[in-house]
Amino acid sequence: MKPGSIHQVLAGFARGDAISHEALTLRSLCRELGFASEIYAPADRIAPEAAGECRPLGEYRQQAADIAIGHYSIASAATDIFLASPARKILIYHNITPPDFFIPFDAAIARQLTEARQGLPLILSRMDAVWADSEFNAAEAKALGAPDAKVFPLLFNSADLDIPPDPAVLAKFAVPMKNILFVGRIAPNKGIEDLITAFAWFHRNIEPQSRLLIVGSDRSAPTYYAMLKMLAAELELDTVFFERFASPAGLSAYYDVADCFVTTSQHEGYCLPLLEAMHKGVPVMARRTGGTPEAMGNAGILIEDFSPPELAELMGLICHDAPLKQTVQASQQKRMEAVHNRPVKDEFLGLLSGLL
Amino acid sequence: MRLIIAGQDRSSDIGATLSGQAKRHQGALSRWSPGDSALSLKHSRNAADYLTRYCRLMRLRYAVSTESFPIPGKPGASGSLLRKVKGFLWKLLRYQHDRMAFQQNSVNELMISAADFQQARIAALEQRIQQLETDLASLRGKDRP
Repeated sequence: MKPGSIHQVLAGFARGDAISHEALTLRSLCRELGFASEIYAPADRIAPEAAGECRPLGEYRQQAADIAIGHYSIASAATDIFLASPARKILIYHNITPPDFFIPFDAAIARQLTEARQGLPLILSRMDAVWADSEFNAAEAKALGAPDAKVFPLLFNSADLDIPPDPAVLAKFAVPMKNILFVGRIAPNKGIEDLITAFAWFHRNIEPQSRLLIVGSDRSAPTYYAMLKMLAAELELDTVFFERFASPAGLSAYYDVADCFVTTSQHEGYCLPLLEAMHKGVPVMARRTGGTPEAMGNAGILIEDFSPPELAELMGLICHDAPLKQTVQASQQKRMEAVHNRPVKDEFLGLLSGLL
Repeated sequence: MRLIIAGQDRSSDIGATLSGQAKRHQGALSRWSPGDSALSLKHSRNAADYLTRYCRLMRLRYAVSTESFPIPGKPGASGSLLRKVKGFLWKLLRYQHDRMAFQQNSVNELMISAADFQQARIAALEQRIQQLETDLASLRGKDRP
């Protein structure tokens, strides 16, 4: 039976968030295929600047013939509404951050993450289909009770980055220095303290004319953010810039001024900013963890079992060794060609075929 | 370190070179001991423990320092001259920034004391809630047939 609508249910919606980004891309695809398609999230979890793109969960209605897609990464009121829907259900599993990361910083989030993990097997058993945005996440879903989980890699839409950069950001960093960039939520699983420590060595012994730009919302864990600020002050790093949330034009500008993108995240389901940086031609270095090798493909630089001074030396190498930088950028360009040429519509219809 | 560049494992050549070079980074990055470092907050057991640790670390750090420091500058003759000028200005204005630092430190100390008072008040309230919950639980126990 052909569904009239394919709606999506999320735990929250905000610009710059990877799951919200995917939901928007998926909605465009569904509409292109002729389905009615909307995104729903709890009203108090919709960021004000994104309110026009997402409807309050209270307005969510679907029929048995329709399809509901639930994005799952944390326990929320949205999950109960999604489960109660009469529509046929697809769960997209985005991974659940291990709660241990949050215990020192936010007990409430740690509890939500624990509940999400504990509740997942039951939720999976009630799905008509389970998709995961990486092989890494699919393996977890399979282990937790969805043996038929399929991989539908996170969708990447470069439209938000292909815009003129914010001139205010460009002006702020106009004095030429080597800029190390990190983009992502400021959350304990991101391991940003390792990046700051490595940058301290880089700044002190390799490249004094350098900055570390940390771009991302601090709302996930303000206490973790406070720790990072204290650490930067402790290391007397007056060129570490916490830029918080960035608009699309702002983000475009941060990538434009960056000499390299570095993430020392300790847990990732996929890591969308890696693709963003590659799209903008910025050399990428990432800790090899979770879904990051899949996001990177055979491109960029993956690191494992390293000390902060070793990472500092690697930053120095990529900033000063032009042939190596070109090799890395060429590999990233190839990777992005594959991402841009991905037959998303065919993949989506293929995965949907059992339900159409 | 394990290093994969553009899909190639380069741990044994580039990785080994970088590991060798990394040995030149000697000494302590921070003047604080591990127990007094911001990173010690990662060992908090819960939110209350975090707050206690945070307030303690804040108390250690409230003061604005007016100690001399190595003035950064660009290499070369012009960079050296500029560094000397900056050093002279720093000494010349010392009477002014020492006064400002004193004022700022006074404000910082007042703020930290206020945070300490609040923390003590929160701790007392939490203890009272815990006691009331215990009393309530025992009353409910008595009501059961």
